[in-house]
Amino acid sequence: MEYVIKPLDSIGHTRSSLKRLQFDSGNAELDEYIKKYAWINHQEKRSARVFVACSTENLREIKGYYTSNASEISIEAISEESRRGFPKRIPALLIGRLAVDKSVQSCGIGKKLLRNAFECAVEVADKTGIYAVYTQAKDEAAKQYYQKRGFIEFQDEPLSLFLPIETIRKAIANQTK
Amino acid sequence: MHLASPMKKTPSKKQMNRILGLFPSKNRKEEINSNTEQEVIRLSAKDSKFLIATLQNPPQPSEGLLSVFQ
Repeated sequence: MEYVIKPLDSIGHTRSSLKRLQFDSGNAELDEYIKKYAWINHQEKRSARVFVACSTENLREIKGYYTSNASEISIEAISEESRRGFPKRIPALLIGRLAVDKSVQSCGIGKKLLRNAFECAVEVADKTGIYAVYTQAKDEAAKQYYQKRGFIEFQDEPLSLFLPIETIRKAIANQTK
Repeated sequence: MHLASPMKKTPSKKQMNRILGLFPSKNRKEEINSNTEQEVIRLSAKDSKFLIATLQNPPQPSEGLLSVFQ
């Protein structure tokens, strides 16, 4: 089956229809988010963007999602000299949540979602100047998932990981070779 | 016959919000819970230096990252 990544508001769902969504990623918090809060954040508050993976045969059937929003990584703990010209707060794109329904886990949907997030991040970087993609893994298993895909862990924040935009750019360039 | 006194004023929107604010509401709880993204992460000095060093010398993409684009 083919899957496409779409913004949450473009697949015919409403706030109330999402509440009846069948979605089980194995993590109750992530399941609750897509059903109860995603619409509010994406469409009403616009504080985060939610992108969903759905089958080309039935766009309303959500099989995975990720959220992204503007974020900052504060490096105020070090002196201006040590910052080497970087701002006190490094603009970044936060991947807040990423989940795939159990029925299609290990089918490459997570990769598809990440690829979409990375491409968006590069697009944003070209327009507004962000330096990295940043995420906070929910647990050790999630952390390993991100590390396997190139994310680098912080030393004092072991569940926080980042990936420089320039590294993502190189990966995209490599693909087009 | 008057069902309601004409002297009674309907509370204004502001007054209603003040009254409703005294009671818990499912919708308000939803509003609070809906935005839990951490928008600023504060790094330790060690991690700050590590981040700067990595941004200045970004690593080559790993096999895992490259596989995302294949």
